[in-house]
Amino acid sequence: MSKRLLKFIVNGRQAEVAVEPHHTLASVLRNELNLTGTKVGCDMGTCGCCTVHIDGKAKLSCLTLALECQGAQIRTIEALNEYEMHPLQKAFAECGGSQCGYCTPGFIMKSCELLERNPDPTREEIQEALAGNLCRCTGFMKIYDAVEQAAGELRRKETPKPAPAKV
Amino acid sequence: MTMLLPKFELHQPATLDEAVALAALHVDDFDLLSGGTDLLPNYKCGLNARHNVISLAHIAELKHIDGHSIGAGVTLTEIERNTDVPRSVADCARHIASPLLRESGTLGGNLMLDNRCHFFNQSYFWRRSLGYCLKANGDRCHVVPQINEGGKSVLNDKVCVATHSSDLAPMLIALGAEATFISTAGKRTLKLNDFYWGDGIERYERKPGEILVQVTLPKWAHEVRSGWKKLAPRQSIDFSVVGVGAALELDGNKVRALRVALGAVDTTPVLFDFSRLEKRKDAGHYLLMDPYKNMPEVLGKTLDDALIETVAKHVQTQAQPKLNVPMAPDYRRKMCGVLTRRLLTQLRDGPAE
Ligand SMILES: Cc1cc2nc3c(=O)[nH]c(=O)nc-3n(C[C@H](O)[C@H](O)[C@H](O)COP(=O)(O)OP(=O)(O)OC[C@H]3O[C@@H](n4cnc5c(N)ncnc54)[C@H](O)[C@@H]3O)c2cc1C
Ligand code: SF4
Ligand code: FES
Ligand code: FES
Repeated sequence: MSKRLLKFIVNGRQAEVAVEPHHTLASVLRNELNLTGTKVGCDMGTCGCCTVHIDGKAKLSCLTLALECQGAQIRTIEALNEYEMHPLQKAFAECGGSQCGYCTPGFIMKSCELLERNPDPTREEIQEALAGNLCRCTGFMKIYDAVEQAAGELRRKETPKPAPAKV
Repeated sequence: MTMLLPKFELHQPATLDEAVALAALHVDDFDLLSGGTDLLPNYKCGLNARHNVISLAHIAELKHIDGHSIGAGVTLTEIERNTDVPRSVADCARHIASPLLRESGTLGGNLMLDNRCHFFNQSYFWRRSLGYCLKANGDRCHVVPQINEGGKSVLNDKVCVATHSSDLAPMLIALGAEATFISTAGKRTLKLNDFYWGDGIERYERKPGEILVQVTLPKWAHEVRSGWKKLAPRQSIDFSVVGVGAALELDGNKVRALRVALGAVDTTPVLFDFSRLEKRKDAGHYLLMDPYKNMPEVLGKTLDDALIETVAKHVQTQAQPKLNVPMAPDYRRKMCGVLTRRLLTQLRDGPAE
């Protein structure tokens, strides 16, 4: 089965790769584009490690065929810290939400999508949104703490500072 | 761990007509791909992979949703967030797999999900070590190795009892949904319940090259009380090991109609239509359950605790879960009764829709 040209936008940059029909998005990101921040845990849909954004939706790259992303906008963990660490990344480090770190990119990409949709989620909404991501180290509580902390941080950043009082 | 997909050709039609033509062209050697959350894991395990995969993901005609009909390409996330479909349907979708899987998984893929079994959903290596089974490459069943034929116990080389684990199928069947299919022979619409038929390999009555277009709900589905309960090892990610969907129409406190549908305990969803208007098609095998055997009379009776108990007992008695998905069959059978009782009590006592 012959290779075909896949043109899509990855982390804001146009990318062109020749891929075979049976290649998954996860394998193309990691093996062809060298974006190894995206992890593959189970490769079967059960762990969430491979989560990336496809046209703004958090999806599993291990169960997505690369060619199905023709023309799509992909965002991976590498996009979050181009200039400085993203508040989610800082919070995961500060709260102990990342230990071995293997699950972290998946958790952060899903949390990031949640916070873009819902900037002030309740603890329960965070738990529900992250119900497809597995972590074997942290026991989850520190991850939820981290998302809460990052949400607060992001909200503070978004609220414009009050204009200086006129003299 | 990387699980490699087998090689195949990928077709990406933009319209339903093109997809139908492609399906007709590759008659015996194609699979449809919608969200891929069921097909791709199965392919990675080398389970009955084909040489042609026809993607339905780029067909706009399949993506329409309103209170009356749901297109096959609508994702589970869209169903979960939709406010026009009955609440029970949205609630059922919300408990499928995980948020990440629901973002890709679709209604079509959910209704056409392949059946599951401990001896089937395993890697190629695993299955080769034990010996293949009827459902993929083999000639025997590891779950029911022997069957009774003419009074004699013989090797089971006929019936696969793999479990049908779709959640939306029983819920939509309880609500009386209809399904529309398209092929080169044209469109046909049938009761979703009549579509499911046969053993764990056969699973449904589908004509060559047919594609599911949409599911339609009758007006009745919006007028009755309906709900969904599911048992799974974990509350997220895992497949159901028992699912119960019910639709209840009350006249005061008397039962006017009651439909209970079980998922994940047999080779197809199983409807208990207490009005006896719909039957289960005879799959011709005693290993599959018969919901209408000794069915109690409930129509016109007051839905008190005793009547709920009678219904729950009946469902529990008829259910025959097999030892091929997580959790013991005895426990799952008991839970068929327990979940039915809890669901009917909740529907009776809760507000009408
Ligand atoms: C870890 C995990 C947990 C899961 N848990 C659950 C669960 O709890 N409950 C549950 O119900 N499901 C569960 N699933 C299964 C699956 O995610 C969902 O059922 C999903 O809705 C399948 O949809 P899809 O579009 O991804 O299907 P696909 O994988 O694209 O397709 C599945 C099958 O349907 C066929 N098909 C798809 N569309 C059509 C069509 N329009 N016409 C004809 N045939 C079609 C395909 O050919 C294929 O055989 C789980 C899956 C995983 C990996
Ligand atoms: S029920 Fe038997 S034949 Fe069917 S998948 Fe399981 S082991 Fe194979
Ligand atoms: S690697 Fe994709 S879900 Fe585990
Ligand atoms: S930090 Fe190790 S798996 Fe989550």
